[in-house]
Amino acid sequence: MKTTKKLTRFIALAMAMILCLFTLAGCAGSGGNNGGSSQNSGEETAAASDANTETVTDAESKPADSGEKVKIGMIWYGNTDAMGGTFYSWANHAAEVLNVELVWKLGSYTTADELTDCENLISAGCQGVYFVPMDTAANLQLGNACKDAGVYWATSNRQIADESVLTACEANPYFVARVYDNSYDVCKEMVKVLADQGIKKVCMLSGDPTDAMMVDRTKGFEDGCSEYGVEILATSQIVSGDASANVDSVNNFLTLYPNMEGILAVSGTAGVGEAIITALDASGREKGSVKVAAFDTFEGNQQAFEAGWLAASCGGYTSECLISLLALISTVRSGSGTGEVMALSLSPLLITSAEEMDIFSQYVDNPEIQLYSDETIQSLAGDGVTIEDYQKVLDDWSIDYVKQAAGIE
Amino acid sequence: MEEIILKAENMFKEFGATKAVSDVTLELRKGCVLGLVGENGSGKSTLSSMIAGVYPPTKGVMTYKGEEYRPKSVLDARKAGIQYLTQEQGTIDGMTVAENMFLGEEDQMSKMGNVSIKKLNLLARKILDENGMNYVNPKAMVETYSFEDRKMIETARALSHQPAILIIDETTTALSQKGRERIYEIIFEQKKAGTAIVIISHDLDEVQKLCDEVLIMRDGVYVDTLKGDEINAHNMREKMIGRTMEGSYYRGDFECTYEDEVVLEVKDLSVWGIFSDVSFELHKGEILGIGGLSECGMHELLKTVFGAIRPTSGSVTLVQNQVALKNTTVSVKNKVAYIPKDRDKESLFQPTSIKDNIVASSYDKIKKGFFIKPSDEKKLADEQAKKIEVKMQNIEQLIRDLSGGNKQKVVIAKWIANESQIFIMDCPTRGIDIGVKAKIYKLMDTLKHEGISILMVSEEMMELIGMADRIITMKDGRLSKEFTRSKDLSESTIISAIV
Amino acid sequence: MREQMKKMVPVAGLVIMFLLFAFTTDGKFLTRVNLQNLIIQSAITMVAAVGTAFVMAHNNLDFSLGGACALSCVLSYLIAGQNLPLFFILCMVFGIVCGLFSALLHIKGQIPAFMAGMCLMFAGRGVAQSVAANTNMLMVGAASLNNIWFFLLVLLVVVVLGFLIFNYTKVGKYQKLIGTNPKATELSGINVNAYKTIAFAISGATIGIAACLTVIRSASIIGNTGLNLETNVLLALSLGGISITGGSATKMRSAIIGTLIFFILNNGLTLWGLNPDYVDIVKAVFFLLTVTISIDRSQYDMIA
Repeated sequence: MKTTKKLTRFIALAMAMILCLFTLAGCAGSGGNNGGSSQNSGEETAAASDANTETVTDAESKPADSGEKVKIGMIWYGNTDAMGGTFYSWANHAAEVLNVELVWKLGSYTTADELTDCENLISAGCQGVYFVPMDTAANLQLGNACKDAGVYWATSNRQIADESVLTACEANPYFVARVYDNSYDVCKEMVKVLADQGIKKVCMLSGDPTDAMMVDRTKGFEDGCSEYGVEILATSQIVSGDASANVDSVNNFLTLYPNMEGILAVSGTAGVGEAIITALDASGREKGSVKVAAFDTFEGNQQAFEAGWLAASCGGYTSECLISLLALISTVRSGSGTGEVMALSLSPLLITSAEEMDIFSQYVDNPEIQLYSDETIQSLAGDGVTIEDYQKVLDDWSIDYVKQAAGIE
Repeated sequence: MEEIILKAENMFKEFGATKAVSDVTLELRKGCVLGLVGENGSGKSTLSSMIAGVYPPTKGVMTYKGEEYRPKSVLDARKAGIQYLTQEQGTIDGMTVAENMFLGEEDQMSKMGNVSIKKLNLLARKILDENGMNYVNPKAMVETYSFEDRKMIETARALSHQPAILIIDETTTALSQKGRERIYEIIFEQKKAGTAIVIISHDLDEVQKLCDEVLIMRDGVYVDTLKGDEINAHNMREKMIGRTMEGSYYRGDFECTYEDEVVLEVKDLSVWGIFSDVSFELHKGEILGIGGLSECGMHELLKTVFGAIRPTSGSVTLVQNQVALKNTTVSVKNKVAYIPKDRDKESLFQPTSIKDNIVASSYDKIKKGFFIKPSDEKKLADEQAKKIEVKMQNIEQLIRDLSGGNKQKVVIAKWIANESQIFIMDCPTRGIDIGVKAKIYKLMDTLKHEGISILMVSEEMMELIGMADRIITMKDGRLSKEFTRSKDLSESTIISAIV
Repeated sequence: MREQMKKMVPVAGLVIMFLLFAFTTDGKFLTRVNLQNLIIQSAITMVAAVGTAFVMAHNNLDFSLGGACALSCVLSYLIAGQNLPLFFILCMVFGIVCGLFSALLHIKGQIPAFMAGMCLMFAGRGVAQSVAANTNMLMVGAASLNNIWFFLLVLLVVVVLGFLIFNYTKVGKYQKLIGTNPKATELSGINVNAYKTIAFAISGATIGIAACLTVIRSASIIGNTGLNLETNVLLALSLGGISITGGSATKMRSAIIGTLIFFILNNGLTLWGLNPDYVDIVKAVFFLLTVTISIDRSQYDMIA
């Protein structure tokens, strides 16, 4: 009994010592070159990368033609839903085409977790990190981690709302590209669709006034209305996550404004779209007598189009993720950035009919379908691609493009 | 000689390196009551457990009704007609009385896999009535009944099967006088009906009264068999311990000796529905005994005095500093100790070491500033454990591996370590073999002479008479009589005051 | 012997994993930056785990962690704004208040502590999300503390204090006694409720510290701040071989070893570049293996 205890204690002690020894060895091995790693600034690229892993140094000095595969870290929310799965498939396809290695980290929903992923990816030898910032500060935190390690980074799907953060990020020499949704234009377009159908009086479901994206969309609707001569009778703010509250809002519109001909909604996700259609279905009004323009696609939108309630919708952002990734790969391969952050924007697809809705559901956000050809991918990741080239691809994003790319009449 | 119904020959049982039973042979005869006695750890429970199918013997052959008998489980043994009543609780909380009674036998009660609850309840009712337990409702949850009632329910279940062999393992220990009487009756009835009965008990008077034959074991080995007139407490005690008892078992003197100083004053103490208007004074250096039936409220009274139960009215005051004992923390801080009746559940930290148990109430004493030095803990525990002669390898040994008597010693050591001045003891020798029992009595005497006061509740009248300076009896939640220590005080005098 | 071996499993698992990744990642694992990152990454969970161990020792589970973390952040921000020292102090204060709230519900309200914690988790998350929906809570200033020395200092202080209090004071010893046998603890003259409350307060304080570290790491407070903290902590403690029913078998080292296992595995698998579809499976298998071998089964003895 006693000897057993002694033995186990001894083993534990030995193990602990091995652990310490290795830790020390590890520290000493890479620590000899450089004293402080925390004070690295962007200008001291060489020194910074010295302090870090050998792999990064290798990639830095002889980038594209070293024979070693370029390695990109991908921080992504998940690959089980339509959009998540589609980009996961697109990115892997692009990596194959471009002979690039991707290391994925899935499922982080907070900045702290994303930062952990980012640090681990950098340690894994990634020369570029792509991510969707969970909030504005993520740009700052992950950006700093990348800068300290001399690793390029790019983002998509999020605008940077805060001026000071934007300034700080733009000063980060490793920040390659940020692509964000251009909601404003598509909102105006959606109003135009209604106006073209002769609608003059609408009510609006607006969004959270502190959310830059929502403010953008609301503004798009408002400006569209004044431009195309549509009157906004009333505005009510969306209650996210509470379907019945949104049904109530629509019912209020219907009772208070019998002359209302249309509804604009800044968001159709999280049950809002369904709530609007449910309320209209229950109103007893003739089908299609009220036209809805709702941002984002939702469950049952096909039937809503067919019933005549829904007149305009929009969705499809996967292209901007891909463009951001391609810009990142291109920069990592060439080994030097342009020194300036590429700011790009994408207008989501405008959907105006049941037929377009059908195409959207079948061909957009479907992991089985690649909407960009291998040649396009090659050319967008090659040398000498300019910001204009990327923006053009993003501007081309439309239902017509989808039809053509998918090879349908 | 009656017909032999079961013969267990050259039985061995080993648990790892421990030899619990070595080469013991035993015969059970129809209508005969066999007593199995021995100190804790002598292997008597292990031996009977093998007969009851709890575990298989390492070596040895059992012949039952002329055939080789090898039970695979307790259920197996039960089916063969061997019923086993243990000292532990044998019912399962959360089930009704009836469900408990037919646990494991639902098959016989069921139709197409559906147990008919109605049939179950009816049958349970019948069995309970036959055993004079018409106050028990078969549909009620078993935990709504007292420990004693549950034990009786178990007994009724066992009897309903008309067992050929009935093993009663320390069942009476936890019962009140009334419950014991009932068990004795049952034993006589069964004996008449030709059942072979095995009784395992620490209560030697009980054994003497009931048994036709007594098998004595020590350290897993057969010592002797006593028959007829040879069966008396003195003989048994000697063979169990393997030496002649020296001096007296209880206190040697018959003087009522305590100082005039009152240390604890209990005034008009009541707990609604349990006991009312209890008042008494405890003196310095006094052993004050409280006797009564198990349900008379005396156990709760001790808990209330200690501050573990909030009284409805009345007060408990330490005379010296006029502190009211309103909760256990205040009591312990003022050097009042409490030793509960249910040792395993209420006073021990089973998976921890002897050391941890001993120092549990003394951290305030040994801490230096905010911190407690492990060496101080060890020193205190070691001192106390050695002083009170706890049988152990070292103080790091786990408490659950100790025998009942040694466990109780550890509990007492905990309070001595704490320098307690008043000891409240609820059945301090319950389930403890006589060797340790004698030591605990001696210890109580020593404490008394050090000026420590002891308030003791006991269900054993002899213990009260043997130890207490004064005995207060309780009946139905009220104090009934008070006796002063004297040579002439007899068991029957006290019993007449409590029933 | 078997018992001893079981106790070794978490330590052995940690060492084996450490060596495995040290030898299979072309030295990427043993770089100074990576080891520093590991310490920083595990800090939040480890700090919270140290506090939670106190609550687990007296046989309760604290499920409030993530919600309480978010709640303390948000409330502190609303009061202190960008004033960092004040913010940190308030985080601790609100953390302790959250702990005391759980204790109050559990002790006075007679609600199982994990339920009280669960309420707090949802309430805290709800408050954080609704505040975050209307307020931009950037804390860029806090990010300057996101360096190894600060994290190392905090970790050292919390772990050493936690270890000392847990093993060498009444506060820690009583938690284990309560977890072993609450009735006997009370009858030994120990104020069970008071000491349970202290455990929750300690847990709350560590939640507060974890909240500060989270803000330093994320430079902002959002509705999801501290998401999954409770599951990470409980998983880490289980990996460290903690006794789920508390009592004398509870060891502080579980918090440290378990958290390290959790984050080293996460780090190592990334260094390997393992296909993300397999990451969760590998993790699950490893967790299951460790916990199956090392978990304290003494509470099942009665049944078996």
